[in-house]
Amino acid sequence: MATESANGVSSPELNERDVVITTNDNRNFTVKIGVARVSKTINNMIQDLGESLDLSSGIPLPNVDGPIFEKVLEWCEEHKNAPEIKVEQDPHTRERKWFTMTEWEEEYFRKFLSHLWDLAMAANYLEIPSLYYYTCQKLAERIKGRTPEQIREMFGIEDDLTEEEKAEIRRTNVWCTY
Amino acid sequence: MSRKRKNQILNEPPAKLANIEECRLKYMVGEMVLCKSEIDNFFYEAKITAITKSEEGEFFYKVHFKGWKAKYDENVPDSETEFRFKYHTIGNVQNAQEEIKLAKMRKKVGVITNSETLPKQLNMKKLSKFTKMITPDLPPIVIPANSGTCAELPDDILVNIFKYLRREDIDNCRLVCSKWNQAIEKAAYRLPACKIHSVCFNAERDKSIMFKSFSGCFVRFSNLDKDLWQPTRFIFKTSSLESFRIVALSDFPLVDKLQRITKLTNGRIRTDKLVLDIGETIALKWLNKLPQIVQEYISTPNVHLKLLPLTFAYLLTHPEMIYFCPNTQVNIRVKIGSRKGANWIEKNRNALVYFLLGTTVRCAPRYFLDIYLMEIDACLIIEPIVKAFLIIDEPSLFFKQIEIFHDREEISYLKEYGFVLNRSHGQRQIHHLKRPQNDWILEADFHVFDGTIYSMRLSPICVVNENYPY
Repeated sequence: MATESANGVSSPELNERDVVITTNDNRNFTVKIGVARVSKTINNMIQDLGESLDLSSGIPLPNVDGPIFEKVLEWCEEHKNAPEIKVEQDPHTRERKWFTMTEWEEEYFRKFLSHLWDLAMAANYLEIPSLYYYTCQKLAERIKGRTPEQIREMFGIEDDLTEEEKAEIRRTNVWCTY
Repeated sequence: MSRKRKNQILNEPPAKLANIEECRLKYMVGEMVLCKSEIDNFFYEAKITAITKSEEGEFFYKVHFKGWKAKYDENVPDSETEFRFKYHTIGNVQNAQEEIKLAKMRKKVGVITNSETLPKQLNMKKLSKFTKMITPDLPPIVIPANSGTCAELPDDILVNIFKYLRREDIDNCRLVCSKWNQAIEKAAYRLPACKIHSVCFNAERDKSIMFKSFSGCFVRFSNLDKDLWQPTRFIFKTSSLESFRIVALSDFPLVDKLQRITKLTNGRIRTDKLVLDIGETIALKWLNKLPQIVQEYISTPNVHLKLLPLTFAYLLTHPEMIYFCPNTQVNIRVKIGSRKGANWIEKNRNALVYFLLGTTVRCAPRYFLDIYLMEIDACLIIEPIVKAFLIIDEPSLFFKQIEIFHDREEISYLKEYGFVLNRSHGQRQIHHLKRPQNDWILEADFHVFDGTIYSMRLSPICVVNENYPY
C-alpha cells in the first residue's frame, strides 16, 4: 500500500476511514478507503480531491451499477493487501502467461459466472488490474478450444457475418479449423 | 499425432493425382482428417486414400476410417466436406473421441436406469462419474437481457481476453461476429502469433506438403535443386511469409531456384528476402564449388548471406574471393562464434580483410565478439590499402549493427546516419562521432591522413536493447 497519501494523512489512518460511493442507480456504498483504493480510478479521485475530500457526500461512479459494484467490492475486500500482479507474456508468440488463481478467486468467479462481461467492464473502468486480468482469463478459458457456434451460443452473440465474409476469413486465417 | 506417425505419412508415396486441378482441393491424398461417418454421424479419425473424379466433374474423396475394415470406407463428395470433414488437429480429435465416449456412456446409463432390476452391486461411483461427464464442465454464461452484452464491450477488453489464447483459437474467434473479427484484425500485431518460427522443407524427405499456415515465419527449403519439387505436391495457402532460407547448395543456379519458389507458391511468396544459409555440412559437401556459388549469390540483389564460421573461413582461403563484391549492396551476415571457425580465421587474417573489403557487414554482435575484430585491426596495420576498420572496445556490449564502410564519402555517409563530427587534431585528425540515438550510440575516432580515412574506431557508449532479435 502507499505509504503517504496526497493530503498528508498517513495511510493506515486514512485507510480506516469510510467513504461513500454512489453508483449510477443511486445506491450508496460505505466503504473503507483502504478497500476502495484497490481501484486505481477511485484512488486517483481520492487523491485529486485531497483536502477538500468530503467523505460523507461520496464519490459518484456513473459507469458502474450497484449489483456489479457489490461484486467488485467483494473482490477489493479480499485483495486490499495483495501485491500488484505481474503480467508476463511469451516473448516469441506474445501469448500471455496464465495466472494461477487462489481457491477464493476460483470460487468468486464460479459464483459470478454469468456476470463475467460486466465484471471485466467494471474492472476496466475502475482500473483494478487483478480483477480485470483474471476476469479476462476466465473468459478466455471459456473461449479456448471452442467452435464459433459454441462461443456465440455461450455469450449470446448474434452471427452477423455473411457466408462470403466467413469464407474470406477462413481463407486468410491460416489456423482456422472451423 | 505423434512425430513418428507424421513422418510415416510424409514418407508414404503420394497416390497418383488424377488431375492438376486436385491441388486446389482443400484436402489431399494421404491426409488425416476427422470424417463424419454415415452410419452413426460421429466424427472418426480417417485417412484420405484416393481422390476420384466423377463424370459430372465432381471430386470424391475415398476415406478409410482408422481401425475399421475397408468395407466401411466411404466416398465423400467435395461439396460435402464442409460438414463431413474436420481438420485432424489434436483438439478436434480429442473432442471427437470424447463425444463418442459420452454417447456410449449415455447409452449405458440409459440401459441401466431403464431396467427395473437394478443390480445392487452397481457401482454408484461409476454412475456418478458418468453423469458428471455428461454434464458439460463449463455451464453457459447466461447474459441477462437488460444488461450489456459483449457486443458493447470495448475492443480493449476483447483484445485483453484474446491475449490469453493461442493463435488457433484467435482465428476461430474471428468467425464469431464482425465486431470480434474487426477487433482481432485491428490488434493483429498485439495478439499472439503462431508458434512455429521456422519450417523446413526437404524435398527428399517430405514427399508432399500441405502448406496452410506459417504466416510470419521462416521457411526453409532444402534440396531445391532436385526435381522432386513439383507444384502438385505442395499446396500453399498462405499469403505472407517473412523470409525464405535456401539451404541447398549446388551448381543449380540461384535464379532458377527463385523461379522455382515463385512457381511453387503461385507467386505468393516475396522472393526479395532470401537468406542463404550455408551451414558447415553443406559447405563441406560443396567445398570446391563454394566460391563460385557464393559469388553468384552475392551478386544477386536482395540476397542475404549467412555464413557459418567454417564456410566463412574456407572462403577466406580462396584467393579468387578477393574483391569479389566491391561496393555491392549485399549484406553478409558473418557468424563467428565457434572455436573451429576462430582458428581458421586466425590462420587467414589477411584474407579476412580482403573479404570484408568493399562490403557492408551487418553482424550480430554476439557472434562478433572477442578477439576477432582485434585480429582485423592487427592486419589492417599491415595492410595500408584498407581504409576503414573497426575495433570494439567493449566486446561484451551488444550492438544493433556495425557497418564497415569502404567508400570515399565515409564521413558524409556517417553524417547522414546522424553522426556528429566534433574535433580534429592537425594532420592526424581524430573525429569524435556520436550517433544521437538512444538505442545505439557509438563514439567513433577517425584517423584521417591526407584527406582519406584509414582507420576508424568505434566504441559504444551505451548498451542497446538486449532483446534485439537476431
